[in-house]
Amino acid sequence: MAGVPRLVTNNRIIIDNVQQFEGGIFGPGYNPSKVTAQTWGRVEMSFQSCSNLSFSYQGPTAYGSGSIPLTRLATPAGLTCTQ
Amino acid sequence: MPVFAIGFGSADTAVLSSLAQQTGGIFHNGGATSANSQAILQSIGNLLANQYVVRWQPTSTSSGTRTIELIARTATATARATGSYLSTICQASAIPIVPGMSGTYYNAARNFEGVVLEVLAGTTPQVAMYWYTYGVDRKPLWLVCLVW
Repeated sequence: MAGVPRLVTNNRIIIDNVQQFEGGIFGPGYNPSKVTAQTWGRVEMSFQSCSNLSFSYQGPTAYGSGSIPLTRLATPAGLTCTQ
Repeated sequence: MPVFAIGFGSADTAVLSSLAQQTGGIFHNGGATSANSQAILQSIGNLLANQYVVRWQPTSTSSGTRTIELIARTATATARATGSYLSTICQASAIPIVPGMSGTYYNAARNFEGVVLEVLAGTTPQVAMYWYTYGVDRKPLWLVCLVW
């Protein structure tokens, strides 16, 4: 799945056109021309701090919508965040 | 809205003074008569005609009480005013998306699922997000979201 560019504003990252790719296959048989995309839904990440965010999604009917609180597990070396 | 109060006769000066003070207006205390009311109104008019609107965008993202000091200088005089306000709204919305937020995020109640985020440097952050979760068919599902 891939999202088309959307929006980074204040403390939020908003991707309103998340797409799902289908048609690929593992190994040497992989053929990118066989891969197709279809819209999956919307994702929004709202940060409360450097290590906590609310992850919201609106997917296809079968997936519905919801929100999941997420916490940082790891930070790449050399980066700092003081928010 | 500022209220400019003028006390005529036996007006309740305490009430008028408080009203003016709380709204940012001025109370003309006592002594107002039909003879000098025009002059008082003129002074209020002059005051309103010589006001400035100062806009300010805070750079701090911290909450708490902030004090603003405004100094106006002319060749012969200096005027100084201070005011304070409690910053609460900014706290929730002024956390910028920065490269330091890159990393792996998860929910302890949902092991084996999570989000990997990469925030690239730049004045307008570019973001790559990888959400590894599961489809309604119980098979692994990846979402790769790019914000360019």
